[in-house]
Amino acid sequence: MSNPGDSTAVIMAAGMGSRMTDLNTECPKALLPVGRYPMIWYPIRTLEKSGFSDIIIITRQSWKDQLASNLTSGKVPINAKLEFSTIPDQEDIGTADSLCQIADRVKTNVLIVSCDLITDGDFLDLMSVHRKNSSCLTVMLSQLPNSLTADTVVPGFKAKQKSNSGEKISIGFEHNNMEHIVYWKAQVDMEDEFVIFSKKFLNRFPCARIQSNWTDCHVYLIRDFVIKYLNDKREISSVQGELVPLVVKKQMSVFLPKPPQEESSMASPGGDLKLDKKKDLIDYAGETSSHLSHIIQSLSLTSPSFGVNEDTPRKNLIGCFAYRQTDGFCVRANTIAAFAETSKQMPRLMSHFLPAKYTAGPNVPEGTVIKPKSQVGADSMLGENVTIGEKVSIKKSVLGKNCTVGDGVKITNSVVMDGVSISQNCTISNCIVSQSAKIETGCQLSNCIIGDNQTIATMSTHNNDVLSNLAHMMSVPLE
Amino acid sequence: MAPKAKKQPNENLKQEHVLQAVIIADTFNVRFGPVTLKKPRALLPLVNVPLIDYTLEALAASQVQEVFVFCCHLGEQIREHIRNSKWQDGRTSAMTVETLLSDSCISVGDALREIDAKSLIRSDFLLITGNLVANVDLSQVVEEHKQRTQGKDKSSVMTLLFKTAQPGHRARCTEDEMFLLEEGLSKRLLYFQKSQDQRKFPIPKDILLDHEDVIVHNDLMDCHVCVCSPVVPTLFTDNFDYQTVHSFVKGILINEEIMGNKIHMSIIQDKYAARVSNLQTYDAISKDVICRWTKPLVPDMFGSCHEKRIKNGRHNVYCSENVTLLRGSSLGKNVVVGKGTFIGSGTVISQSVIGQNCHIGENVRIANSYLFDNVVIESNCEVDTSLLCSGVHVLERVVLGKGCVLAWETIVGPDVKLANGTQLMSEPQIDEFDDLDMSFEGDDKPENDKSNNGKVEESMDTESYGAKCQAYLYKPAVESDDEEEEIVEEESWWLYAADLREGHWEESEDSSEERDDDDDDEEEEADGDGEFDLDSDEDGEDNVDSTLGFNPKSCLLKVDADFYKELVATLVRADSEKIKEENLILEINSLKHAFTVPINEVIHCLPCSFIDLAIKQAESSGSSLPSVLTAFKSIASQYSSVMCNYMKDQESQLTAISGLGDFVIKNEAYRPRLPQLFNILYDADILSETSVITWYNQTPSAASSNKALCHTYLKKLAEPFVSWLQTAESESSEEDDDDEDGN
Repeated sequence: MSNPGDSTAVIMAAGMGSRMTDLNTECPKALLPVGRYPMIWYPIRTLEKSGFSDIIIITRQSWKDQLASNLTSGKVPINAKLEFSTIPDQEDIGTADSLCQIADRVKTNVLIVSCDLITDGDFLDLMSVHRKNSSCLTVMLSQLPNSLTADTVVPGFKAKQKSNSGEKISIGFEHNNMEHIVYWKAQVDMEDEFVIFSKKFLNRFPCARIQSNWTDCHVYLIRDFVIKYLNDKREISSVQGELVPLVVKKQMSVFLPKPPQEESSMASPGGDLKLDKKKDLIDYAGETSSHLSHIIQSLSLTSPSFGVNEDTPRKNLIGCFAYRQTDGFCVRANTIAAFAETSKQMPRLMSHFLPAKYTAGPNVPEGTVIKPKSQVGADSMLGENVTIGEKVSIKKSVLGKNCTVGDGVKITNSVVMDGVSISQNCTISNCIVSQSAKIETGCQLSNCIIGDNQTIATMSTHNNDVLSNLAHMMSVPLE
Repeated sequence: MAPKAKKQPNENLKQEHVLQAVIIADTFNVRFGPVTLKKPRALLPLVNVPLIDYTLEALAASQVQEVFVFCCHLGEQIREHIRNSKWQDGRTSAMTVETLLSDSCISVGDALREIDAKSLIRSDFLLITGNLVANVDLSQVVEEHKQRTQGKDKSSVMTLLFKTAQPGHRARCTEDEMFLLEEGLSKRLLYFQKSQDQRKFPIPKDILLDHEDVIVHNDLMDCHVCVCSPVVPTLFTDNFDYQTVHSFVKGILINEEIMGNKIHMSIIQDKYAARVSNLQTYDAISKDVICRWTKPLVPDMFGSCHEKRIKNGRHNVYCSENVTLLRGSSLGKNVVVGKGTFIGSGTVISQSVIGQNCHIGENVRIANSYLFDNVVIESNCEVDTSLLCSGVHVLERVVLGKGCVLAWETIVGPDVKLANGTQLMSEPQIDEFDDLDMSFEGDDKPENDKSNNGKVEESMDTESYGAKCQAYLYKPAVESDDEEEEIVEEESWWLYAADLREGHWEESEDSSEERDDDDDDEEEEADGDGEFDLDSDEDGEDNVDSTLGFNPKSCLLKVDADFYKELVATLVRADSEKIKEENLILEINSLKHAFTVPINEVIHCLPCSFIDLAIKQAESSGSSLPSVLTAFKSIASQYSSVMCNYMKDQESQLTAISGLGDFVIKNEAYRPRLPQLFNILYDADILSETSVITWYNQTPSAASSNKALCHTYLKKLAEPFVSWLQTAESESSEEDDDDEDGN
């Protein structure tokens, strides 16, 4: 059992899902069902496909058992060895902080995947970019599918449907090597009227291409010394917000090897401490590239540092690169829009995650009872033990396990989770219906989110509503 | 034709398809110093071929059919040259060349306005300068532009041509460094900024927010080739603010939303295109021509009509007909020797261009130099990295230091050594020269000129330039008419090569700002202010201050004392009333107009006046030196935007430094504190590193003058700071990282 390149794979499953609070009142975000499986199963599966067999899952203390029971009970097909690492519940701990937990486990690189990543890409492509450029930090970027960027109506309050333009990042690539990231700045951070480039930067990277149409998939492949730096420094808390910009910026720095005498004179404990405090990322990088490899570099005719002395300043020790996924599907299901979209895409995408024998055949598994004159479209998917009455039409929708659908119900463009019962003659379009909700006869629902265990009274009509306990408590008439 | 072109700019006379080009044969600046006094730049020989012929060849190779050569300065010579060239008779080429003479033009804008008035333009045309060396097919760029205007981007008015050149590339003109933003797919130009001597480049964030794909270019040099839509001359006519193509581009970009006009760009990757814009690029492009990067524009293939056969030997040695090489002479790598030249025995020439009918004596060493036609160098001379114009006569045993420029028919020697960077000319300098070169109308006040002529007229310095010399020192154009007013920058073109980025062929665009104060009035007024201890010395004129070793009075800029007083008062008031910076700038500007002081005097006064403000602030705490310095520090950071507003470019920063120097000389107590003062201004980002270093490396023209002594004295004072500056860069990346944190 080993992982490719001896890297460590980590799935971050401690997020609260703050952008989709209407959905996950009860279960952790990682366990929200997407299609037939919990959300976290998809990144695990993608890792497995890329050859990873040991996966560490970082989660909150209180969620650990719930996750473990869900993932290891055999209900979901997982082959890899899962290991849980926990962080305390109360504290607000960033992604980079939680990485420090497993700092001593990192041998070469660590691959960090977010639990809400649903992609048909291959992490091996990312790893080859990393290795080819001897990168310190490689980021996976993708372009959002059109279905998400287009103006689709998102279930829930209209006011909440902010576009995600605020999350745009201006990423600069070196023109000759578009994998090389030379600039990284979130557009929300551009406060002043002017964005300033230094002459040093422009001389180093005379032609930089700055694009803002990429989304960060929150998949990072990070070298060991960066993690060591994180662990020693403890100042950085978020990978995307702080670490990536830092690494991008530190590419400019130059490593000045210390003359050995100086080191011995600094032997006093106080001096050491001082030295440690001042140690910068570049020093970690410089120390990592070992003496021997440096000699090889300076003797190799093909190396850029050919003929360089041992104590000359060294450039290009830190590099930040990107694997840019241009085709295929790659979405973080971290907003309601993205969650709904990925759920609906599942019937099409399943074949990427499971071998053909699982997905072959109809999207209607055994144990489903469908009465005559009902239609389940090929773009829909049903869970196990679903009972469907007469004259039912289900289009572009996903139904969970143990659902009951009464006669004459129309479900379009919706996500219905496990154990939902829908009575006769309901029309549900573009909705998300959470677990164990009950929708009584003749309801007309469109663009709604129904919370868990909600009961919708007979003949009620809702548009753009969030119907859940939480929402009722805080519901404010917005119009 | 004219009204038609104005009303329907997009009207296309499709059946004609005549590709037109406009060559602006004047560059409206004096970067070539004394060389262009007698010959327009377009006719300077580049590897023994007049520059404009390169441009015309490039146009002919791009199937241009109709060329208008627009000349101003010494335009008759250009017309004469073209009349005698192969372009005129129309049989050897399909291209017709027409020269347009104008004496009243002082900018490219004027030229285009005149072209618009004559309505010569019928369709998309090429606008280029008369000093382009290129082997790129320009018609393709025109085609690109045509497709754009006829296709989806009808609003494109101009396509600019750029050549890739990494930072530090030798053909990049350091004075034209620029930085621009291109939209990724559409090739649209989004932002354009001259980047000379700036440490930080701010770009409006809206550009990054509005466009998904932006390319930041610092790897380009401007070829000054633009494909213009026929509407461009009209736009120039409509807006008289457009002086140069650059200001036009900026104007279009700023008013894009209103006018809807767009500018696109095209980048040459593999072909050659460069512009001879100063001596440094002259040197670089000459070498490129010799090394055949510009093929087919190389000496042995160039224009068959030139009737001279040139043999191309190994190591790029080109020998024309009738060259006499005596035994023992040797031609090293990359040498071009023109027709009829005689080279004596024992002479070694390398990396150089020798013109026609030159005579070079025995045991002469020539390296990295350019000799025009009919140059005579007698035996045992050494010429290194110099430019010798036609008819120059170098007598025996003369050593020319690096960067010497000897203009037409200068005679030097025998037995002298010229210092690095000496520029000589054969006639005394007339102050009108820059007017001539910039083709001013000559509307200057005549009495001004007279007085200047009287001043400048000096006897030949036979001591420095040899007993038989016919040489006068050339002083670069500074905008002042007072000889002692400005520190004359004396850096030279060879220093560019040595990676010292700054030079003194500044575009003297604002030279129209003349001092209209009367000298006598000033001197009277200069007295009386308590703060100028030295100025109040009644007979300070001839005093040599013993502590300084020179006469301080004569090297100080005379400042309008009333203005200065009022300036300090304004600052004190602004400080106490907490007036906003932008309003303070307005107040200072109005003061400038009220006292009719030139802008450089304002800049000169600014640092001192802020120090005076600091002194006033520190009065409460006993006005000890350290407290003044701390007060000055906080003032500097508080008012950095004000000072930066006046000291944007290097020239103004140098003025400010000289003002600081004057202050220190006047106030003895502050002399040892000069490094701290520098440091405060540097930390507040008011002075740039390069300006300080440039100032430090300057050597005033006359070595023994008061000014030179003064400068050396100040240099000595400032030395700690400058040496710190020079080492700080290489020391560590820590600081720069902090720098970037601020971004």
